[in-house]
Amino acid sequence: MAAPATQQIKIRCNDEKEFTVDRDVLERSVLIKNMLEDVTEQQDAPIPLPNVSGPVMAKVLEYCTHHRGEPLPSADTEQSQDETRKRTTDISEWDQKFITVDQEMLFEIILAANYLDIKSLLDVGCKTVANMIKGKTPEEIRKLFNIVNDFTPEEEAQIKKENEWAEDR
Amino acid sequence: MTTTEPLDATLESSILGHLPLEILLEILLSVCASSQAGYCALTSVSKQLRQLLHQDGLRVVPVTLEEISQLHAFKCFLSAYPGIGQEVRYLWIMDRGYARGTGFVEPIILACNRVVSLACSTKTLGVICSQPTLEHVHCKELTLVEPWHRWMTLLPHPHTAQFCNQITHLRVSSGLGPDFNTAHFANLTHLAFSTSPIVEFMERHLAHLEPLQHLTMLVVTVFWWREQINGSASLEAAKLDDRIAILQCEKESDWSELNIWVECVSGGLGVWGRARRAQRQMRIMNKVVRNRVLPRKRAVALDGQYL
Repeated sequence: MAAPATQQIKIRCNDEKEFTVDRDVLERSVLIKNMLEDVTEQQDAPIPLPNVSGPVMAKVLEYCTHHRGEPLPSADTEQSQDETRKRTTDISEWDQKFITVDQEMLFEIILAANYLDIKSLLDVGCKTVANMIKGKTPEEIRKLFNIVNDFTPEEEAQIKKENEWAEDR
Repeated sequence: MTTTEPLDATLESSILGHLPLEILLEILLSVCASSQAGYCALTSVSKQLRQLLHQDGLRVVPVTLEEISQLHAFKCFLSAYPGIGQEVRYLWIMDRGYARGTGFVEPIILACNRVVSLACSTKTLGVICSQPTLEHVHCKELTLVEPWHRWMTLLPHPHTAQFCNQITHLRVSSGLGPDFNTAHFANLTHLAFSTSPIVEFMERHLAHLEPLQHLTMLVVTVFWWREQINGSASLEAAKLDDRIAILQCEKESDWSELNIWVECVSGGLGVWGRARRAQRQMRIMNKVVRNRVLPRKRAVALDGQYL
């Protein structure tokens, strides 16, 4: 017996780029899932996504396709987790490879995941940025993210002294 | 979903400034939660990051103090920012060797009165329990790291019973000792200690632990330098009580009490997570052996994998 045909949904990005995607793939996005549930009649017009560009959406769809069928995190499980105890920065092998992109694309993916409400992708993005920061000196962090050092030399010396308790032995 | 709040000028030029504040905080706090060095590096980057993290970031940092210089520096840090000690939730503080008698530990432990996970010596615990009022009422997880725990020395203190009663997770790096008072730990759900040989010890002590009615996990850690456990010993121990998990602490896996504690409070497996994993493996192995569904050679291989 043939499997039932999957519904195809059209989306349109802010650069007019359009994608036609299986509904279950798109429903990894809670935003789109809710939009689709609100629409009672079949519509041919593409769903406009004004906050996401075509190249970023292509990456997001690559992620959603790979993770299609996996259970979505429920609101209950999110709330029951102790906030301070879920900050591990482990990322699966496939996700790590997927998120190996330039810094600009990485931040675009994080913003898109936030807008589209794809919790797992947002987590992968945040963990990746956290891993980039870990083990770096303040100067290296400034350089990495182009942050202006607004401390005076005296303030810097004072902070360095205050932080002696955390120095690696 | 998160809200988009503007960051001030110093981060505007940075790519980090493009992120909504809640997402930025999630990233920064995850760095702070991984190590105190990460926390200190971030609070030294710019005034705005310092303002964001100096107090709130400390709540997720596993603060580990062992050397005299660290104890002294942290004591000065607490003095420079009155009240900041109350932000510390995870504290590993040791007064070993030369650190003893310096007087640094007491003011630190008293200032950090909102810890939820504390690793210290029995002597330091005595400082908490001997105060006019018990202030460390949020502490749920206790790790005692010393060769021999002098439970008896805690008994005369006015708040020993109250403090121990609130503990749900207790890790004792050595053996339990005959004076371990189960009546004090009525709310204990997780208990981990070291012993060897396992089966003999557990046979003798399970009755002693019986009053701990909420206990759901009993972890026995075995150090590589003392004993190499084999699969049959683990199975035998598991037969005594299904709450038992045997955890072999291997030299190769870089096991240290400090590493495992940091792993736990940073959101990793820690002793409890590792024990749960070992328990699952032991149950699978037990099933395999009981059902004899696999040829002997395969069962031996599985046994080896578990070890």
